[in-house]
Amino acid sequence: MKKEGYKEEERRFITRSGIPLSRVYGPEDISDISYSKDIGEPGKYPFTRGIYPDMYRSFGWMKRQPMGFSSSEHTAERYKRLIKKGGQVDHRGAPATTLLFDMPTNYGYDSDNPRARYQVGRVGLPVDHVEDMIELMKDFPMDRGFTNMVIHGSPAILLAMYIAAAEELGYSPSKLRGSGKNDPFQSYLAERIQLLPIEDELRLCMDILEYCTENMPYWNPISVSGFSYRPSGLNSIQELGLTLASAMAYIEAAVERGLQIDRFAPRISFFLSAGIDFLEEISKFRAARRIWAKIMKDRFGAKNPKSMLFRVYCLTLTSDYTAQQPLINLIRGTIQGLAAVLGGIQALGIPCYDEAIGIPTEESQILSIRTQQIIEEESGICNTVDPLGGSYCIEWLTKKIEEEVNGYIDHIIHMGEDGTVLGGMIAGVKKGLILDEINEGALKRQRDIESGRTTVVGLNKYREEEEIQHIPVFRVDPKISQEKIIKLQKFKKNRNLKKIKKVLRDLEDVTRSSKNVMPVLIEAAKSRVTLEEAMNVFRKVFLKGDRV
Amino acid sequence: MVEAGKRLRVLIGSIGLDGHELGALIVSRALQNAGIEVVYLGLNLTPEEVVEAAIQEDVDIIGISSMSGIHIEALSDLIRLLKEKGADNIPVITGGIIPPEDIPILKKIGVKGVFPAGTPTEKIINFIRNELSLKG
Repeated sequence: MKKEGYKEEERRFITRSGIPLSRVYGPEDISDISYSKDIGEPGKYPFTRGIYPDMYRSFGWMKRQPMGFSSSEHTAERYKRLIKKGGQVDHRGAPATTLLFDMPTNYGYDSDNPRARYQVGRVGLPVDHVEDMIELMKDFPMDRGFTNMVIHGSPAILLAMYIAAAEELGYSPSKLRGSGKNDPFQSYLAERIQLLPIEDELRLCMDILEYCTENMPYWNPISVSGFSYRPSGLNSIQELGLTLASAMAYIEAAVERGLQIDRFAPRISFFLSAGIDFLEEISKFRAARRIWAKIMKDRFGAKNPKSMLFRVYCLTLTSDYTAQQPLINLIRGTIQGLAAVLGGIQALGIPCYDEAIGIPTEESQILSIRTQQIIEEESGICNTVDPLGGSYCIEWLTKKIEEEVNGYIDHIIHMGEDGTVLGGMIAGVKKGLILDEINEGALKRQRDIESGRTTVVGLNKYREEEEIQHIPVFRVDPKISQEKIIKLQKFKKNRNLKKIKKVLRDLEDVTRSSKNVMPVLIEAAKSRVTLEEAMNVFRKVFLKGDRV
Repeated sequence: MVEAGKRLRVLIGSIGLDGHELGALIVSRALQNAGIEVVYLGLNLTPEEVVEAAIQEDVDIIGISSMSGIHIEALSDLIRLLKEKGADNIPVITGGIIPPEDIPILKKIGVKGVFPAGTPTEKIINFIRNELSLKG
């Protein structure tokens, strides 16, 4: 019974995705949920409670703070120092990293291209050719460690350079562990990097998937990446819906190519955010596992339980951070990180408190690593598996999110005409429907913040007189980019040009055919072809001279 | 002074390779809602392209979004080029991820207004109106 004068309607008890929550949840709210069919034991279908029976009791998540700046050398140096702090490692202490590349690398330009001006080494590390990759990886155990490459515009070329570097350092591709963000839909929609027509991006995406399935059993060839949809404007439901729709589209494309689902699907992995809405984010990860398992089993007919596992790297949500009173972002990161771990993630990065000011300092990276260690080793939430499972509210919300996300996937299918998710995604991209939705989401969020409907502490409430505190800011030395350009120009002069010409001709022939580009791309990398030279072959073939 | 009755025209864009479009979109929409005309140039611009468009489109003010820490170099180049083309009567403002200690540096190179992430759009609109009514 509501008390007299208790004006519930005036405050809005809704999640950040807009799901209204009841005053209290009880057994009747979850009476339609079957424990054995819908929830299940941890490690058992449909994996709502976790993909492993023991979860963090047997081993902890991988700690992967995203990193990359200035140059291969500078990035590798900081990375080694952070390993000593217990960050950037998996549970065995083997190095695990998430590498960010600079904008020219993401756009397929060499550091000396005039369009690369201002951006060389600025917000990520520049990789022009295989020797940059060797410099980066030379001191790391590429077979024992785990490398996650977040690369938007040119994943096939970067992966080829990574493989070529590994072989030159003495590792067989069959031993390499890691993942590459090979998610053209996300590059188009969230990163707004649209280098080639979407159909051709998909062909290269499938070339990577096929090559890795045959040759790299420990590599995740596609990391379906929802994270950036959140800072771009979508909410949790849309983030998960679009991520799963993309994954389904890739699976349809791979099956169309003749790949066996139970051979490639076990290596598909995911990358999601965790925002500040604690209950919703926990439920989102639980729902994601259940939806994915059901899709793989029922829709795609997968038999191998490993094909049904929603393995996820979580980076907590930077767009919940504020430039105002930046230290309070430490608390936001902690709450988001707790949600991710209670949600049952496999790898975690907590962005640094200074992200809204610039790229992180080493000190702020260490604070993020310490936050992860406190969650894991002090908070006690890892002592038992899925501690919130069975909560009336969490189970109800998990189911609600599942329904909403399935609805979103249908919405994507209806954007196309052939009833497939692939058709829907391609149509949604080409007609600009999905991009419009993302932009509208961003504008709505801004309106909600400006009207005070959504509280952001320090920004639209509890604001301080001195708006932005002075905190140490990390700066990339502009000299480093000049040095990189000079080094690159020297490198270009000292190559066997005859060999380069031949391999570029071969690459063009293969690109025009329907054969897999990966073997010749790896050859090209070993022959010291640069990123831009390889990308220009793709531009020439796929853009038909439109805009090289 | 902007002629009475003429709608204000603001150029919005981002210099250098960078896909972060949100700030530019949000500010553009807010300006449009306030009755200001926006010439939306989008992402990945060079300073040369911005100057050319600003002159051709006869804009009253240039707003540059910067999310990747290149604001000092990019805006120095932009303002130098405006001077070279005799178009330095067009004020330049900026917003995005900008450390507080960079604000005086930006002001010194001639940027009229700096609006770091989290600035209410109303503040930007008021600034533009004041700046342009004071001008000339």
